[in-house]
Amino acid sequence: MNELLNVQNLKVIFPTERGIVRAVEGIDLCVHPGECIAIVGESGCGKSVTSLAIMKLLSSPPALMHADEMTFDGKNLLQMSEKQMLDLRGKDMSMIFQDALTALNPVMCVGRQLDEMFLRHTKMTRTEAKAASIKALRLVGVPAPEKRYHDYPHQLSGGMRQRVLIAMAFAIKPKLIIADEPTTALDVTIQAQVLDILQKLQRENGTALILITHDLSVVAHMADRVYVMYCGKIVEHAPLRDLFTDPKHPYTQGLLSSVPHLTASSNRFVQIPDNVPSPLKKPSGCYFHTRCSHCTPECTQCMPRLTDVDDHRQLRCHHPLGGEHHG
Amino acid sequence: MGKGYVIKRILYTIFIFFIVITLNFFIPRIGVEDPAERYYPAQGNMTDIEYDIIKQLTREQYGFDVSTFQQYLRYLNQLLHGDLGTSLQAGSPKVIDLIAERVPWTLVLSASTMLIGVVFGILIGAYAAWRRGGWLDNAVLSASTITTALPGFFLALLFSLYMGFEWEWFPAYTDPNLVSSFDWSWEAISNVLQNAALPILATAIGSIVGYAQSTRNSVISVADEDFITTARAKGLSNNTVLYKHVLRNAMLPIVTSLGMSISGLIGGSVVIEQIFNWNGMGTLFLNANNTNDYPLMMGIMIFLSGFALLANLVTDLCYSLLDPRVKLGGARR
Repeated sequence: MNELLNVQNLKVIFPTERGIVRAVEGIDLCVHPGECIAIVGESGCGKSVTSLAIMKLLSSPPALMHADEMTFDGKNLLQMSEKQMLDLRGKDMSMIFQDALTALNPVMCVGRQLDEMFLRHTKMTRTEAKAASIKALRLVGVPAPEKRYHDYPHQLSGGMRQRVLIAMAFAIKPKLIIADEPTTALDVTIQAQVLDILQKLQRENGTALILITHDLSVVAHMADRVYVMYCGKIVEHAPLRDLFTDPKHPYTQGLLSSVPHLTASSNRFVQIPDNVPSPLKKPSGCYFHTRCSHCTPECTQCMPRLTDVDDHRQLRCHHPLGGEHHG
Repeated sequence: MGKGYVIKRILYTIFIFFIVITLNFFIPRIGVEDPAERYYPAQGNMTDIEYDIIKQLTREQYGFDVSTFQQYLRYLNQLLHGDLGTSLQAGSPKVIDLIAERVPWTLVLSASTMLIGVVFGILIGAYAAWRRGGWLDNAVLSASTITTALPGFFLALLFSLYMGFEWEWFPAYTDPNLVSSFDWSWEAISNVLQNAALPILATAIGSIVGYAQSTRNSVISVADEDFITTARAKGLSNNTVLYKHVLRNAMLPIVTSLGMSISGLIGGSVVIEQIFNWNGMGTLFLNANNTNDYPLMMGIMIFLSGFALLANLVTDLCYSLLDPRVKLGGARR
C-alpha cells in the first residue's frame, strides 16, 4: 500500500490511417519510494510511450489513453487537471531523455535551460536560480560549471550534455525520475560514468527511478526489479537476480543470451530469430509465438495470462522454462 | 572564430558586388557597335554628316571616345566616388538624386506591406500551428492556396475597381501632386496614407498569408522536436513552451525569408505602381527603360544590387546572433 506509483491496466492506442496501433496493451506497474525498476524490451515495444503516458505528456490527439488506476504519491493522476499536472511535472516526477543533443533547446544556453526548473518550481530569483544551476552542474561532475553554464548544447560533449539532463531531472529533488534510454547515445566508457552519477544521485536523494532501456548491462548495473515488455504487454516481471539467473520466459532468455560474453565458446552472436511484429499486425495467440522455439499449437491460438509464479514474480507464458541457469 | 566569420562574409560581399558592377558595365555594351547611336538615335530629317557630328559630340560628352577598358576603369573610379552617373533626362539630373527622390515613396508601400505581413503573418501562423487543425489553421492553408494561384496584380485590380472606383473608400488613382506638395504637415501625411491604402492592402494580404504559412510550417516542425517534450516535462505551461522554446527556433527560417524580402524593399513593384499610379522605383525604372536612359538604368541596377547584398550580409550576421550554432562556422569542440 505504500507504493509511490501504481499503474493498473494502462492502455495507449494510436488511431492511424493504416489501422489502430495498440502501443501499450494493459500493463500494470508499481514503483516503491527510492526503488529502481527497469522496463526492458526491443524498440517499438511501447516502453517510451508508457513513460510519456505516466507523465500524461502524450499529445491527444493522436494518442488515446486509458487506465483503471494511476496513482502517484497518493494522488489520482487520472483525475488531475492539466494545470495540476504542470505543477507535478519537473517537481515531483521528471524525465531524462535518450539523446541529449535533441532533448536540449539548441538556441538556449544550457544554464538557462536549467534555471527554468528553479524559476518554475521554486520562488528563487534569477540570480539564485543561476547559483543553484551551477551547483547542480557541479553535482553531476561537469567541470568548470560557471563557464559551462553559458555554453550551448552543441558546444558540449555527449557525456556532458547527458549530465546536464540528469542535473535538470534532479534539480527539484523529485520523488520519481523516468529515464528513457539515458545512456544509449553514449560511448561505453562515458556510459559507465553517467550511470554511476545517476545511481549516486538516486541513492543520495532517495529518488525512485524507472529505467527504460534495451541494454541489459545497464539493467544489471542499476535495477532492483525488471519488467520485460514485448509488443505492448508485460511478459515477465521479476527481481533482478531471479531474472538474470533463472529467466522463465523464452523471450527473456533470448534477450539474455543475445548479450555477447567474452567467455562464450562460440564467437557468433546468439540472436532471437525474425523481427518484432508490426504493431499494426500483431500475431494471434501469444505475440511471441512467431519467434519462439517452444511454440505449440496452444500458443498460436490463445494469449497466455500474466500469472504469479511466486510472491515476487509474474509470467505470461504457456510453457515456462524450468530451472535452467544462465549468465 | 566569430570575428573571422564576419570578415570573411564582408570580403565575400565586396567581391560579389565587384562582379555585379563589372557585369553591369559590360552587358549593355554587348553587341553595340556605337553606343552613341543608342544614346542618340538618328532623327529622320538629319543628313549623314550632321548625324556623324552629333554622334562624335555624344561620344565625347559621355566618354565613349576612349577604349572600352579605359571606360571601365573610369566607371569604377566614378563609382568609387559615389557617383552613379548622369541621367539622359532633360536637365541632366544626377542618377543618385533621382533614386533618392523615389526611395522614400517606394518604402512607404513596401515597408508597411512587409511590417503588416510580418507582424500579422507570424501571429496568425504561430496560432494556427499551435491549434493545429483548428479553423485558423484551415483558413491559412486555403488562403495560401488561393494567393499562390492568383497573380499579384489580380487582387490589386480587384481592389482598385471595387474599393477605389465602385465604392470610393480610398482614392483608386494616386494624386499626381502627392510628391511635389508633400511638406510633413498632418494633412499631407494623412493624404499619403489615404493614397497608399489600396496598394498596401493589395500587397499586404499576400504578404500576411506568406509569412503565416511559413511560420505555421516552421512551428509545426519545431513542436515535434524532442526538446519541446523536455520543456513540457519540466512543467512549463503551454504558452511558456510556445514563446520560450518553440518560437525562437521556429523564427530561424523566417529570418532568412525576411532578409530576402528586405532586399526587395526598395526595388518597388512595376505592376502595382502602374495600377495605382504610384511614383516609386518601379516607375522610375520603367521610364528609364522606355526612354533608353542607360545611365539611369545602370545606376538603378547598381543601387538595387548593392542594397540586396547589404541586406543579405546583415541577415546572415543577425542569423548568427539568433542561432549560436552558426557563429562557429561549423566547427565543433
